[in-house]
Amino acid sequence: MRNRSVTYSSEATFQALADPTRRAVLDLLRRGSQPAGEIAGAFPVSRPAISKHLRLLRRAHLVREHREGRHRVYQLNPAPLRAVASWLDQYRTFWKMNLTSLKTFVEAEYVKETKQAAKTNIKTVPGKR
Amino acid sequence: MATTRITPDNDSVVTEIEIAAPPARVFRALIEREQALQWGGGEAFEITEWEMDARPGGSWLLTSRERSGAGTGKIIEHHGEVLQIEPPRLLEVSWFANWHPDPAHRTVVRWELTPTKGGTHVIVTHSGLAALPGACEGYSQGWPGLVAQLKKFAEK
Repeated sequence: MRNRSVTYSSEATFQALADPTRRAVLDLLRRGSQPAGEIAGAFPVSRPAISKHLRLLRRAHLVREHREGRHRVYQLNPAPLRAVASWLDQYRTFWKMNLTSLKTFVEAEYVKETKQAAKTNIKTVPGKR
Repeated sequence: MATTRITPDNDSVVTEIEIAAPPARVFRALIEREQALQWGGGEAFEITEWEMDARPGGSWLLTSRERSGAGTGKIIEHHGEVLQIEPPRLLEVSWFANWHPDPAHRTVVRWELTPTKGGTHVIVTHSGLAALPGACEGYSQGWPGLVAQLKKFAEK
């Protein structure tokens, strides 16, 4: 499991999972391998759209493709899912997002507060605010 | 950009970031309610409750709700106790979550703030994660709404 965590990019896996159609494709493949045509037939999206999803899933190593005669058959590879399902990976992402939010907020507030402080230090001319 | 790593014992996640503001300013955002309400939820979550008694032994609470997606409306609850607090350089809390497979399993979050020329270097260490029981079988379990959040995150 350690070695697999090194091989699979959790960022690529999360990106692959971020789309509901792709998640549904993976759910379908959990029940067994499917040829491309069957996968496309299961969803109300165009064939090219499904092909694009399958390409992305292949690049993330979440599915494997092989030929059976003229058909491309897809098979789920659960290993990257197991790797990111660990609490460690989930919290890595959680804290990255959290600290990014904190930084954005504090820096914006600090700029506002510093400008405000500078303004109140300037002597006002009578008749003007 | 935040950087993150896992410690060799596979028990902790260490995340770091630089913030262009002094440590005292950053620390306020961690412990003051009207500050935390403004950044703590991020884009995908709306904070419904936030409390902290910022003293050793004081309790803290964060509840939030997913704004949209499959988990909309679902309440996520985090809570714990303040273990150590030394403003503006250190805050350590115990961290429990209602969505952990064992909500009674204690993890610890430690915030370390160091002054730098540019402002503050922040290090957050979240430990006790290796012992979280019940490793997920499926990607749909775990942090609620994580995947929806990550879509936005991955697009940045």
